[in-house]
Amino acid sequence: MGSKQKQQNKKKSQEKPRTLKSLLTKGAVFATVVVCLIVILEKRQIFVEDSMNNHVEWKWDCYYRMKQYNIPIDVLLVGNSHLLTGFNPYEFTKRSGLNCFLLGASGVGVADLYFTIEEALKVQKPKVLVLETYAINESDPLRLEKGALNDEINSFRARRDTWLKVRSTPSLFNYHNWPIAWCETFRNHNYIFTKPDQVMRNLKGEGPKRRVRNDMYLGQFARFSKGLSQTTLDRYKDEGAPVDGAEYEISESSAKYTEKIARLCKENGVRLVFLTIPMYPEHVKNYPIWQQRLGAHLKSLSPYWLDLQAAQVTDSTLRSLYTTAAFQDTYGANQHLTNYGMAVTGSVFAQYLTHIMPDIPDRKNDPQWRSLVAKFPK
Amino acid sequence: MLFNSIDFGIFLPVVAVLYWTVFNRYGVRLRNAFLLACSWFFYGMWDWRFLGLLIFSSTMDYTLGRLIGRTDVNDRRKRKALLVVSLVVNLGILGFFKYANFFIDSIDGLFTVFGLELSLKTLNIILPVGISFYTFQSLSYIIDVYRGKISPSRDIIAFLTFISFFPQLVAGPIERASHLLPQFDDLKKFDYDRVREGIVEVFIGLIKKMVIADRLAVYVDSVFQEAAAGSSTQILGFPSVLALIFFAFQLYIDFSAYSQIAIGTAKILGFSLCTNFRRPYLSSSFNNFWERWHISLSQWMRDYIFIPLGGSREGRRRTVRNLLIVFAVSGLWHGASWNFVIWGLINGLFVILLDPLLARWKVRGVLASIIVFCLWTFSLVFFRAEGIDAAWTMIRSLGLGHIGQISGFGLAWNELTFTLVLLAVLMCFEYVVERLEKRGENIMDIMVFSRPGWLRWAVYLVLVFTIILFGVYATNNDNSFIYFQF
Repeated sequence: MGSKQKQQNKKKSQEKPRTLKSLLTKGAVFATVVVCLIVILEKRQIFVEDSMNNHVEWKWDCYYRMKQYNIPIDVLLVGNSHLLTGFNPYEFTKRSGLNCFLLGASGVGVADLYFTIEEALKVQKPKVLVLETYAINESDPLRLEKGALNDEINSFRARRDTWLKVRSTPSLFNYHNWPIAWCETFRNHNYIFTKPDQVMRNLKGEGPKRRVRNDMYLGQFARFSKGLSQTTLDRYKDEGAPVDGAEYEISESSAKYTEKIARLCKENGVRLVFLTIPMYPEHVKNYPIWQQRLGAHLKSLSPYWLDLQAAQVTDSTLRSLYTTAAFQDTYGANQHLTNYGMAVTGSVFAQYLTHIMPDIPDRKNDPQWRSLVAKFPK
Repeated sequence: MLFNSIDFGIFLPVVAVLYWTVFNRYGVRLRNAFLLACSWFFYGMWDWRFLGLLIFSSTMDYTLGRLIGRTDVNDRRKRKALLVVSLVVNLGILGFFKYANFFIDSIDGLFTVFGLELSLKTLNIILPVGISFYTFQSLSYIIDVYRGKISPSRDIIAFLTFISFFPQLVAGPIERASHLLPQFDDLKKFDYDRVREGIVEVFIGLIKKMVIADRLAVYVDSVFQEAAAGSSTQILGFPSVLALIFFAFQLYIDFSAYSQIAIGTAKILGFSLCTNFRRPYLSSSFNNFWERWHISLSQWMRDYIFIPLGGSREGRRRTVRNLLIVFAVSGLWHGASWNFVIWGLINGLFVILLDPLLARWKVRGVLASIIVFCLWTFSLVFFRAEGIDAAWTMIRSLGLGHIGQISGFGLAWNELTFTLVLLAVLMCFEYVVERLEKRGENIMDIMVFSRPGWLRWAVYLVLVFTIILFGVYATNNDNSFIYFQF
């Protein structure tokens, strides 16, 4: 045997085996490398946008901070934009003497709120949980796709409890949306074209910028200052109401998660109250049908439901409070409250809650409460 | 299930691992049964209801094939009768699901021309995905059995797997029984290099689809939507020309990507599928183009329609007639609309009229390729536009003015530039591949597989991250392959 052939044989025997096992091993190593590189991109936040106005994150920051400073929360309100732009927590706290906090995120449904509540209750247990009913609707997060998922993803990403996030993923997102829910690289990779400056700044380590709030932010989202204009009021007259209560439906998902919220409250010894923040009466037609459908569902879950949509029509005091100045000037499907409307709701709900639950002691004489109120924005 | 979906990303590795570790080890029948179950699952993920149609049509052809095989060769009447049964049932199913509304609309339109209002109602029919592909594959089998070119399959599982084989079930390549069916007869030996090649082909196909074709689609859809809406003033000029050129590339890249992923997937499982595209945009004539574009369909048309009609053996007039019939049928195969028929006929005319001119004027090389590409692209107005009116609006809007308005149709300038660079790279790459292939060399061997391990891994990482960072991915089924509709 010549030396050349010997060398070749030696080389052959040294060659790695080219079997299925070796392919699978290499595949596994390769997949690990890919995952590691994606984790690096995530950690360096290459595809994350500057966040100067992230209310959902601010809310959770402050919620955890309250626990850190031993500030107890008596009333936790959860909901979507209808609550966040429709309820003034400072007004409520000052009126009722009870500490309150708003959690939730714009655009989310009751399924997302269930997991928000689950995490919130792990941090601290309020005496009362208030669920704003606009989130109980026909949506089903598993059917949402693409842009419609943005609100759900923002809320999901702002939550802190990683294990709870893992557990909630199959309930909140269809499996083909899991990568975009968990990973900004998958969700925002098109920033390469749409926001190249941001990507460059992130690569240089100069971004993403994040505005942090260290004040006593209780979760309200004051957006609208202008009440209904004459033009919109004229449209109600000419075109009728833009929202039809007869079209209101409760999806299976919404029904299921409202029931789960009720069960969760019961297990944690938290009293559940439903609150319906109003839209302008002429903005919604056939509200009794909506009210009847919602009522049939809520009846067995809690004896407490303050339906301000109905009450603003039947109650003369409320009618005088919820003037046109209380409602956002829009003819669109979602009508929110103005700053004035928020204050009215905060005040009205304080009266309602102290009336139905007189056993909850207020904190008006507690120095800690006074110092807390002193920190409220004027 | 789409190739560019997470479902397939999970499905393929699971199937491949089970296939090589378990099912390909303990007997051909078990292996084939496993592949059949996987293929039906793959198809059923789209719509379980139409799985019955696939099973019915393939079982019928298996039975008819056996009957033809058992019939005496001299009993031509009986053999023909069995063939006719298959043709009538297969084409009947295809005709009902794909062409019923087309015929209703056409009859209605015809009577309207003569002043008679029939107002026939169209049917609410869903087109079963892949029906044109598996019907043609099944028909080729039965015709070949009838002609005595192949002997009928005796193994029903193998036959059903041949018709339903998931890599090529919904959009081809349209395989011939003589090529694919025997591959189900024996167990495969694991070939590391082949499987690796298959994986790389799948990733290259995904890049072509998700990074290039789907990005082109954003621009094309936007411009054609405006054309369909009749707002030709906004898209007048260069944007519509660019959209048309982009569509020519989108169609090619989208479909060839599907074929490439299908071929790669089959390779991973140890099977070999026929080549469906061979760099058509480097064609030097229209005849040459159809030898490179959707090859499996072109060959099907040639073998089962053109040649039986007499081919080119019976004089110029007969040849012209046969060519026009083949191209009209090919157009109709693509879609149940007069648009597609016109598209087919235009391409037939290109072959009949322009090829002799190109030959007479000795136009060759790059110039010939450019001429063929431009005319082919023009014909695609009828392929892409939704209706003849929209096609005319699009043609009227073609022009070279308003070059500054080319962005603003879903793609920003930087993305548009990126897309143009990708297209240029792709065409250069195809040119190099063409040259190397003439020398009997394979570009992947030269550029990847013969390189040191670290370089190969770097290439694989680039492939994966090109998809992750530059891919256009829809969360649901929005970005399905163009040829699914056929």
